[in-house]
Amino acid sequence: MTSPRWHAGPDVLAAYAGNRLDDVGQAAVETHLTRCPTCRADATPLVPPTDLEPVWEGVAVAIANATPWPLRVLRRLGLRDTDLVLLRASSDLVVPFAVALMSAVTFTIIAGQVSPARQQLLYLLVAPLLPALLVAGAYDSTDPLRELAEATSLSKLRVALLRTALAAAGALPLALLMGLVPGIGLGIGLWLLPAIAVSVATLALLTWFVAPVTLAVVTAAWASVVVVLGATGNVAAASTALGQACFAAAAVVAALVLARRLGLGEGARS
Amino acid sequence: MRRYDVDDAVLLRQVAEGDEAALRALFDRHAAWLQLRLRRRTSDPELVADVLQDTFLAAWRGAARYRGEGDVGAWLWGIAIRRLVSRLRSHRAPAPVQHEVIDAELPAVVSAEDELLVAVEHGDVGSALRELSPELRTIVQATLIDGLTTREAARLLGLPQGTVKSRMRAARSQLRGRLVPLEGGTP
Repeated sequence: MTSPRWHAGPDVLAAYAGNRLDDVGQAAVETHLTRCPTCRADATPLVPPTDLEPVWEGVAVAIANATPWPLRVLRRLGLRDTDLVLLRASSDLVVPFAVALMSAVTFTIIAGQVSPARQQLLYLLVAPLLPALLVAGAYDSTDPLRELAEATSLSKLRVALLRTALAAAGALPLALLMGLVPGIGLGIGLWLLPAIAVSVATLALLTWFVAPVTLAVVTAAWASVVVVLGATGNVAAASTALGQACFAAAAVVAALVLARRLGLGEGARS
Repeated sequence: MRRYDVDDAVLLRQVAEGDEAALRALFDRHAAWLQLRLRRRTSDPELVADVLQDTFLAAWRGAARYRGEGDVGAWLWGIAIRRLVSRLRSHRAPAPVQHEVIDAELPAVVSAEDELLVAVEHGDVGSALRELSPELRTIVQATLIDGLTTREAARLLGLPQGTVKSRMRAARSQLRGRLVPLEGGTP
């Protein structure tokens, strides 16, 4: 762009910034500023840096928080931007998500090879564990956040629930993917309550143990439940109202333990 | 200061490649005058800060869509004034800037009216503008100077679109009537 022949000069610009020009003068200054780098530079000292620095910080934070897909899913569902920033701070979610995705794909391959009767058993074994894996992974990767949570007005429960929500957003499509194996069919819905129970129990255990230990305990416990069901020929029991009620009850118990461990009484802070 | 001698268009290309320092350099050059100009459009300083932030975020995400036509300053202002209009419409809901929005908000190709804008600096149009009624001047400012469409101008000014259109017609014919005798004198 060629520079204009005349310049507004500091006095006119100061009058403009102070709103002391009439409409026409204002229009003239504005059209001029649009195309004159010299006068733009002259206008810069007229705005206090304290006005602009917070704006730049907002821009920088937003750039640093470019959102990966599970977070975009959560935002679509109505999660607030401030919570997204918190979750984004847990930067190492890639590994647990990759492991869970690999498990899901491996599962579909294996499940295609075995008899339909065993497919449901296998699905029941794997599907509820995926969210638990993600919860443990998410918790582990956000571990530095524990100090942050102590220092901020965010309640620990909120952080924990956000992590679980993030895990659910990641796990739901994976479990549906596994449900695509023919023969499992309507069994898809079966995993949801066990998954919640297992995930909440994982969160509760995480307040005692480190992530790998927790995951081992949870996996072993859930596997033995499924194996017992399979060995006694009662896989169908998991899908009955009574079976689902048991899972729901287990989830509630786990949630109560979790609430206690997180000291919900002091939650008034948030 | 930093990268002072680098052209805005070059900086914007670096921004398109993900160079945050280049965005900062653009911010240092443009944020102040954009802020001053936005403050002439709304009295709410928080809204101005929000719009300014939106603008540079949009520039970060949409830098690749700058086609090298026209001044980068004009491009940024085109984004800023449209962000302001959409914030006013949505009662300041902090909507994240999506790519489609940026596409829609990129200023149109430089119009024939650009010639007229240059003339505003030189007084001929200035004196003609001065003779317009305040209502008509506001319309001219929103459409010719801010480069808004009739619909956007209507939103910014809180007027029905029909009113904006009819006032724009009136302003055009008055301006034309006053400028035609002067035209022989312009280079």
